[in-house]
Amino acid sequence: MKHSCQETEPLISGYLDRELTQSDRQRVDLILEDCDRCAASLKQLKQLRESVSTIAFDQLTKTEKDNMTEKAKTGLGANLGQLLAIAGLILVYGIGSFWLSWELITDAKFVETGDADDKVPLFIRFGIPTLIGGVGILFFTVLFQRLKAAKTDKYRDVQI
Amino acid sequence: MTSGGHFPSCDELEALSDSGFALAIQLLGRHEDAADVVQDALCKLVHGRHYRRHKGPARVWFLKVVRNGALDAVRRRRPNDDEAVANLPAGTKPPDVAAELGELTVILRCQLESLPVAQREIILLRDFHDLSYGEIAKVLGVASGTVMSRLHRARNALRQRMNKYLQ
Repeated sequence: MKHSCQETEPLISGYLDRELTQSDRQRVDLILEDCDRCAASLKQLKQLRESVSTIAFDQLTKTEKDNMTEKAKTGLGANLGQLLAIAGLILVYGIGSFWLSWELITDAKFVETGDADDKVPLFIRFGIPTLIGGVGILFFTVLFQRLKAAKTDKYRDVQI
Repeated sequence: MTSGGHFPSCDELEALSDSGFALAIQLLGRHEDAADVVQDALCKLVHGRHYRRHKGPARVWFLKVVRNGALDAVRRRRPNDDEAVANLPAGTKPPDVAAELGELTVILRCQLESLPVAQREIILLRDFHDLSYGEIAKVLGVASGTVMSRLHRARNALRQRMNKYLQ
């Protein structure tokens, strides 16, 4: 069968790995019957493949594997705990600061009792909620910047 | 075989660790570095949402994570040097020393380690880890149509180095 050995070469790898279509496989079958060079190439590649599959590489010990699995699972608990703690903090501080700001802005206690002693000065009524809002915005801006940097900074693991 | 999205059992995690460690040691050469990469991959598997979205064999996902982690580890060893990935550490024994020992697999290992990482990993994924071309494409993040030619080029490079030892 007429063929170019150079063009057939990549197909021989596919043939060896049983990754060719049926028609390509039949074509290579015919070529291998006729061409000693291609047949020798297949033999060599087969020998290489079998040898690679038997190379003995370093392995993990049973203790190392157990420790790794344990560490991965422990990390899961720690992460869950961290997540719950953050959610709790956001709820407590978030709702707490909103409630406090609302009380101050509406001057709720003075409205309720009508007592002049309960009247909160204007600068506190609006100053504290502004301060809480400012600190909150600053906190989340820095948090998002840090999170973004942690994901994208390519130098974070470089040890100096 | 475990599929993506389902949490693997302890035995399956061990099997994944073995498989991942084999690839990491093949790419990194150092036991401690390879173990760190596998540990990170296990943590990503257990915690990560990416694995839960993965469809197909868990081993393919795991090998992909290990492979990426190993390449990152190489880059960290020599920051700002992309050549580091292309010139991973050579084998512990030079081919001539291994040749004197007369063991084909020892010589083969040395020659394999002297190949560029792109060629080494594709040979190992196919011939050692027994992945299909489609799975190799997923692990390497390349088009599946290019796997056969890449693999053949890599095998050819290895064959040229091994020529005098092959029958």
